Amino acid sequence: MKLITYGLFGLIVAITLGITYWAARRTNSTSEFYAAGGNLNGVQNGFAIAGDYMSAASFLGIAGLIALNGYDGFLYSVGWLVAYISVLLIVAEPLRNSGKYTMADVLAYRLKPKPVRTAAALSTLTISTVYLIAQMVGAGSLIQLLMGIPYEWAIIIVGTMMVLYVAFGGMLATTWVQIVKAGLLMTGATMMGIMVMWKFNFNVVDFFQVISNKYGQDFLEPGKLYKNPIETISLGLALVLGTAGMPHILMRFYTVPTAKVARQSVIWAMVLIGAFYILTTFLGFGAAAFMTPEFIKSFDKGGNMAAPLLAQFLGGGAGTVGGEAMLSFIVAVAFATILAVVAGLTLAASSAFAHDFYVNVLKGGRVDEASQLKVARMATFGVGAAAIALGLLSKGQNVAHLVALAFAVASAANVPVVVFSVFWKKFNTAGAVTGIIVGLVSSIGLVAVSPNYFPPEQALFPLKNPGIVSIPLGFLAAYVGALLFPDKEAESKFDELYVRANTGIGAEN
Amino acid sequence: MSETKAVPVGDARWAHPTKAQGPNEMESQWKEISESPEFKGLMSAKAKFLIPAILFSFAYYFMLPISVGYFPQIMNKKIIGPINLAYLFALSQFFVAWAVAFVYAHVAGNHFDVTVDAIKAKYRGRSAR
Repeated sequence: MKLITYGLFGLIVAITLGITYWAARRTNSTSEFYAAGGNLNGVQNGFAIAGDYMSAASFLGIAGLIALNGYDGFLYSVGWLVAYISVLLIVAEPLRNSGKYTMADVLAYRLKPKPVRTAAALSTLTISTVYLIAQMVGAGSLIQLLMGIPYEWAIIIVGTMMVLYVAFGGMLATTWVQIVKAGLLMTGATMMGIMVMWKFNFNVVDFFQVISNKYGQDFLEPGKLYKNPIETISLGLALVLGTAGMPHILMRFYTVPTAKVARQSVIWAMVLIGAFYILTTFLGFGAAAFMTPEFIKSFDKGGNMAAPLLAQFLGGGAGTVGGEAMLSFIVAVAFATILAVVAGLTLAASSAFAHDFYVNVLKGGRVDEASQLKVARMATFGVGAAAIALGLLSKGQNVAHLVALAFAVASAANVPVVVFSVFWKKFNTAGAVTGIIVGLVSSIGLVAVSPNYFPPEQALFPLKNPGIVSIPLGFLAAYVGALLFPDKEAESKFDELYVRANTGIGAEN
Repeated sequence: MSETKAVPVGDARWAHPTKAQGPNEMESQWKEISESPEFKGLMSAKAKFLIPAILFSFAYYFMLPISVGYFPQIMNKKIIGPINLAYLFALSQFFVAWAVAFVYAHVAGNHFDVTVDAIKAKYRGRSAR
């Protein structure tokens, strides 16, 4: 077992470093570093978006949630696909047409660059860091669990790998790591999904009947995990709007040449992501059908081992060659999954610091190309070092709520200002800054006094997910801020952004 | 497809399209496009599709947590063997999201893109670009 696992682990390290070496030789400008030169096609970018988005938490976490809690785990997974409706219909094309490397480019187009870039860099860094900590801590414990590598070493290995990909290979390496990961993840999930259903002769009714007989019909009914519908709605709001404000996802739209290709890439991503979450149902319920919750929990309380243990079972069981090979393969897929997501986040955080804050705020844009690239690479090392340090410090902490917090900040701070900036003429700098700050502070503030950190009866805010309050607050603050401080200059540049965002005139050569 | 051709590397892609012209001239050109019947038609066609599509998608999605949260007895009704309405409703979310996405891609590709190309052709010919 150890031998196959380490062999596959080494293979993934070798392949991704090979990609990085190849990409590094093609990354000589900021456009190549941040946007892979802007000439990926729709299929490539679609796979990369899927690879950027589907984390180990989705793969192992949701399968575990379903295996232990039945229906509610499936309920949770739905929002992750519906989120792409907002991405497709609202942000992808205007962003592609009016930005360059980061979300703040769109805001800076007609608003005062320094204040809006500072605010946007702050929210982007917060979102990426919070999400990165959640991923790092998850990665550390998963790799420890899956491969027996101590937590600290796992964090250092993952942190080093992501810095290497991004610092040397930039967006090109990140993209191909994500494409390879998406391919592996889809292959693994499809293979396991087919093997599960094979055992039931592809009869879905029989499959669910076995589960119903084993756990009772209520395992297939809602209510085991989510007792408060307001909480579920609040989480759903943050998911379906927040994805359209996630910096590592938004960045991906600058890697394609036209709005049409941006659109095609979202369609590809939606096909992959949707298929993956439907397959995850079969993995989760499959684990429940073949194993007991006690057995799954004996490896990991949160159920993260449900999918790997299912793989081992499907391959022939513990101790068999097939079982160990399947387990090793799924472990390797999970490892690749972790690497692809943290690389995307590292690139997003580095770009917010280097492109938005350093180059355009501190230096007012007066930085030559070579220095910009150098700063971007240095920022990557800085982000990587911070992520490793925070990952080590957060050992043993419950960080699950940080994922929801990242989506809440993205939806409350970023989405309102991007939407208003592109579609509302009277929007201005004051509105953007107040919107971002209020969205950011209210999301973090509400989580800080929520049941995530306090016993429910002492928590000042009753919900674990702040979205239902912080998202309307973010929109309201952006709206009121804009009305209180009208700005003729921002209004006069609206026509230009509006035409450009909707037609691509000026964006394509 | 000429559109998917590689774009020049560097800042050219983001450069101001009408840099060579004076500030008033370029402002008036954007204004001219934004007030043209073609562009107004494009935006109203987009609004007519996008706003209902977004509202429908969100409404359909939030119906799920609302119905399983507040009407569990209806959602627990078994439809096919042990498979209940709650499961089928959650599963349908995937197909509805896909359907909205495919319809949008179809409409955008066959209508919006065509209008955009016409606007581009018209104004490209007239500007110094």
